[in-house]
Amino acid sequence: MNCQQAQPQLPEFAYGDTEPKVAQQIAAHVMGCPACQRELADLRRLRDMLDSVPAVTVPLDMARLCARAADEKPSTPALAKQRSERTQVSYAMLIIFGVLLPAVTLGIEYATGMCAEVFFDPIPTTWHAVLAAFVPIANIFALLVVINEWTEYRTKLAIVNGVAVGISLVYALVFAPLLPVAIPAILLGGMGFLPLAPLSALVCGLVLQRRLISLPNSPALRFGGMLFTGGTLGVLMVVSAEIPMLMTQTGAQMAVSTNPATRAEGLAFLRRFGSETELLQLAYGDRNRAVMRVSSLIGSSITTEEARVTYYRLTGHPFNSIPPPERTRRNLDEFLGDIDFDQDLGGVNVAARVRDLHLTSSRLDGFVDAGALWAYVEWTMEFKNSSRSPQEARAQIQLPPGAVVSRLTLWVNGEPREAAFAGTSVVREAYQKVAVVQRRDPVLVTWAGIDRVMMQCFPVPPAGGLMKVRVGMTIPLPPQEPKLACLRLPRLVERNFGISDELVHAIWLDTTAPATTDAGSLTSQSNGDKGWTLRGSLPDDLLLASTSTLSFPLARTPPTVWAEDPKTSGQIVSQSITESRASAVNSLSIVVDGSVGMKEHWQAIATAIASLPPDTDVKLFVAADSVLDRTAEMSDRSVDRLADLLSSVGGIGGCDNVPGLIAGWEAAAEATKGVVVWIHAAQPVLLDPVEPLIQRLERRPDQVIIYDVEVASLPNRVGEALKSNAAVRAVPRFGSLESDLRHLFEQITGVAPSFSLERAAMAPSEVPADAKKTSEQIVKLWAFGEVNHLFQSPQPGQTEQAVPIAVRYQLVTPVSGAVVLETQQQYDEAGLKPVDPDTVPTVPEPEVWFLIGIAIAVIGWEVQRLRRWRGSLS
Amino acid sequence: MNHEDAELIQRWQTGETGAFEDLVRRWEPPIARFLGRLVRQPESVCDLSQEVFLRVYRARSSYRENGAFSTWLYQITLNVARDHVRQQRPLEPLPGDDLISPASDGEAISMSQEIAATVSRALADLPEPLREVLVLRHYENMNFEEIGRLLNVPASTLKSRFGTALRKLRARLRELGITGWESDE
Repeated sequence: MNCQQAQPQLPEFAYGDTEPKVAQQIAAHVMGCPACQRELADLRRLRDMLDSVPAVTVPLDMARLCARAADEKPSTPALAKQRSERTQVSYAMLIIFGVLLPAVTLGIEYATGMCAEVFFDPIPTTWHAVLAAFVPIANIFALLVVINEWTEYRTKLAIVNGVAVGISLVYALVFAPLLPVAIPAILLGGMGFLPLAPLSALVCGLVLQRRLISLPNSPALRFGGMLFTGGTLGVLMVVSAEIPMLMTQTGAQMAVSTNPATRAEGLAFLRRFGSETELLQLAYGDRNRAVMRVSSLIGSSITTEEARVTYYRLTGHPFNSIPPPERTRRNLDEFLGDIDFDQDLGGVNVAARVRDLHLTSSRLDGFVDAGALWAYVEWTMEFKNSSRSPQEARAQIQLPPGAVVSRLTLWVNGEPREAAFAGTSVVREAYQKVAVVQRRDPVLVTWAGIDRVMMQCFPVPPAGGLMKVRVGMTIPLPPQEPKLACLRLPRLVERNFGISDELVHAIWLDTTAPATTDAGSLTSQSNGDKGWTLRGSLPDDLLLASTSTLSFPLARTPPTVWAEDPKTSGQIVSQSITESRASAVNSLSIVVDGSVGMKEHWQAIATAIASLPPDTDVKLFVAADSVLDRTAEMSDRSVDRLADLLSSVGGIGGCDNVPGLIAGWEAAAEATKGVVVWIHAAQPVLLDPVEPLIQRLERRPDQVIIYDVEVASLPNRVGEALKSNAAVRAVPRFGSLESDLRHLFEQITGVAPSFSLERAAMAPSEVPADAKKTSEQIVKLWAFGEVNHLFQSPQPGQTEQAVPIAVRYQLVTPVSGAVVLETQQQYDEAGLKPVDPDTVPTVPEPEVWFLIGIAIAVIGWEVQRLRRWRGSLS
Repeated sequence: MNHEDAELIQRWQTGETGAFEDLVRRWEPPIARFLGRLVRQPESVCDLSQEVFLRVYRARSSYRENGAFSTWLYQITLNVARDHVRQQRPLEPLPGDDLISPASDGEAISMSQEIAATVSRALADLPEPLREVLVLRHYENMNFEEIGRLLNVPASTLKSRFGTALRKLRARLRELGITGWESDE
């Protein structure tokens, strides 16, 4: 033992309170330690000096004491009984108002979400629920200690009770504004007791604190000591649970300000202190989350739409690409059996994900005539709704480049029903009337931007009900090279339903030429004389990836093909390939999205830009939080330099690309032939107004072309807003971003030729002699081109002319949509006529196609014979 | 519980007034001594003793035989003493000429009384928690476990307080002029 160990024990040693073994060790140490010897001597001297203090002996004035005691009220049995009864009543009141009322209130709120629905959510997280449950539990334990006089627990329970008082205090304060409503509500069915629960728990907590500290047979504690410690802890616990929400709501409110500086500060604040999960909750409509509401402390809460915009700005991702966060508990709708009422039912947006709605089966069947450069694919989807209320499935489908929806089918009671095609407003009105008002079975497909359609069907029946729909699309296959046709399958870019990891899209395409693909799960098998079959399955992520592109090497340059127009007697439509080479652009503006989704693509973009001819005038704009003109730094176009340049300015959150596009357009418009290449990730929300950009494109449609390059299949609201503008071209994505960008740059700089499919209507006699007859699908593609041409025309009245064409050829276009209703009466009421099932395109079986092939050969031979005969006559 | 205490309390709780008087007579001397060391004014001890036993009288119906009567009584005494100390204004420090001069070798009895008064004063100057543990250990001869039950404080904390109390007492005595400490050499 050393001095450090011995000295603290010397006082006990001096008083003989040390354990014998320790005392021996101390004694041994003291023997050899002069310092400890001196200390011990002092302690013994102190002990003697204390002994010298005489005791005070003051005789008690017994008579006075007895007199004072006699003045105290005598405790008669009746008084004792009265006291006992009063005590019992007080215990009962404490149980009712301190334990039962808070517990019942919590239980009702947990089960129904009543307060959350109407005012604010008092238990937005599990942590809040635990804190709220802590109050009645602490009160019941405090009461047990008081009743049983368990003095050994009273200090601990006084602190625990203080914590409960602190929690109750916060809740009582936030519920205080509801008290004027609560008190009259007590008279109307007693529900008004619920908002009073925090206040009653607070009062009971204080009463229990008083009783705990003055328990009989134990030293009285000072009122306030334990209460302050525990209460502070309780308040801090609620505040700590609130911090993420308060920080996020504060930042979000700043981020939606109309003042750009405040907006930027808000975003910076959110990036530093905000919670993505909280913002996601707000984006999914859970607005009343914070107990200590920002709305009541700072101002009005942000709207759901503002939260969705802010979520994109913060994360760079569409909010509905993330499944809805789990709720702490059910809400009032669920309690009443109407789960998750979908506020966007029948709307024009895909909007929020719906819980318990899933795509359970998906198959793609089709036929590819690689020689005639067209394909027809039908996508059959089945949805399952496991919730307790009917749900609407909504999705945006990315079509193959240039494709048009030409068939829509809904199974009603197991029977397929074909769609009616009409103007967009007519079909949407019919759908909304049947879906939202009558709540019957319709499905609607409308145009949603270049190569995109919006599909929505309602109701997917509740409790495991299924709904099956089929979307047929006619697809052109413009060659990417003289002897190479490519097909990218349709895919879901935005959806309000889930797709389980197990789900695969079953693919079955009959083709006239063998297909190659990087998707290893797809295989092409020969059917002998009947062509080939491409079969297999793709999980959703692979269907979205460009590796699922199907390539059809062609033995020779495809010939001109023709088909009779079934809708116009005596008219045929021909399709031929046109090769062109662009004259070099004078000015190329590259507008790069600065969002986080672009991070992994900097290298590919830099490599593609570096491949541009050195004499090309390139301007670079990065759409970050503001538009960054990096043209001055483009003197060195090495890949590393460009990649560094891009990564140094972008990759944060979600950015508005419209100002960047305007800047790029202005720069390109300075030249006689300008081009903007817009490379971007998801654009799920519109931030700045698009109208200034649309104005430029409409007023000078031939001056600048915008090439829209998406790094992946993602929502694109800017693209939707630009509609089918003649000055905007969607760049097909068949390969990697780098190769597709290089290919585009080669084409727009005139280094490589580009191929397009030209279609024209003509009389049968005008068909070239070497042309081959093919399917009527090319007629639909021609009609689609006509509709687009009329729609894009600046001439007034052209759009109106486009609608009848789209309806006649049964197409979903910028001016028309398709709707399937359940009954003929519904069609009649909407003024719609479903298409004749015999006129819809179908996927023929290989055998059928073989017979059609023979028939076409015979007809072709007959036509040639007729021409020769006519020629001999003339 | 002491058998005699238990019997007196039982009799008192059944309404026998004489039993309360017996209980007071039995416990009055130690409680007065205890109060005399906890508070600075000996003249207050009589009133404080009255207050202690009056509180005992009032708590007659709520008293339960689940612990020693002496512990309960000491707890009440401590509370009374604390309340009294809080109500008093802090004492002025002793003026310099009151300090004991090491050279003043007067009469032995007078000297020892003077030292006792100084120690009493130094004891009164200790902070309340330190004074309580020192009084209970030194004068009431309670062990630290008993003191712990009384004060609702762990014994280890009390041991530490006790050491601190003695050292502070020595320091205060030095200030008040008591010399000759070994550790000064």
